[in-house]
Amino acid sequence: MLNPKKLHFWRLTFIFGALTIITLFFLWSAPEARKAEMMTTRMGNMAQGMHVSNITLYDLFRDEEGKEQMAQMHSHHQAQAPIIWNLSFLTTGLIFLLLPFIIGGSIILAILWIK
Amino acid sequence: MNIRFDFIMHWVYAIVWALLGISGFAMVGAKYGWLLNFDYATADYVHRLMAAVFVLITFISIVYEVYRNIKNDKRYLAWSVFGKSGYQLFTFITTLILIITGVLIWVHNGIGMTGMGFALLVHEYVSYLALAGVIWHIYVKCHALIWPKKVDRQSEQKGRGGKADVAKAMD
Repeated sequence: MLNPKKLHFWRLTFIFGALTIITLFFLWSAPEARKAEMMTTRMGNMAQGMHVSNITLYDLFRDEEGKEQMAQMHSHHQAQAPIIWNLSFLTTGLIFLLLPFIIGGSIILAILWIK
Repeated sequence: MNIRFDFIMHWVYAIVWALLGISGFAMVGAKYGWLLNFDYATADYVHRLMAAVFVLITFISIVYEVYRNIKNDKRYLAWSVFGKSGYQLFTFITTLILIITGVLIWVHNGIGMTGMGFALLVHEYVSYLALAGVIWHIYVKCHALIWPKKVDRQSEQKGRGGKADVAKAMD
């Protein structure tokens, strides 16, 4: 039976469920909405099918032919409005500045927690 | 009013995680694109911006935990995002995997298509696992959805009261 202590969880589930159904309903009945292609594919699926099937550890570290394609994608991302470029610079800087400290801190925490 | 640091960090983390989840799943593929009305560009910007905030709060939480350990503070913080056991440890591990794979996707130019494909795959599947974990976490801790009653002055002065005590009272 339904646990009365968990009633709040089921209320929340109902609210999210209703929101999802309403969103889907309005999208489904909107005639101007674009029809989404490849409805059954996901990013992970595509990546798996196109690039990760039958790979070895060696493939992850070697230089490959797709470099040109990657460079093209990179240059495409550079041609953006100044605010986007600045935000990109700030966020990238922040992430790469903090990443070593996060990894280092995690190692320290792992040692302290195991001890 | 006694608002604790771990309480604030918990809800900042939850809001940022929710925004990352919505924008991230909207980008996963057409199947979930409806989350943001198939506007992949907005989803991309929101995801990148929130990712930076996510990294920042992860860094702050780790520094806080290291500081607590160095100070030999053994208190159990019910709202702490990271911890050495249970769901806190699960969050810590999934957060690290998501950040590292996210950074690999971010530097796609340096790792090639194979590396990016691999990072995307891991990032997506760990996200599903983390989402399932969040739903379970909300189910277990749903007493937090109850608005806290006014605690008496004596217990407030001792630094107690709030959701953790409501949870204890309910158990």
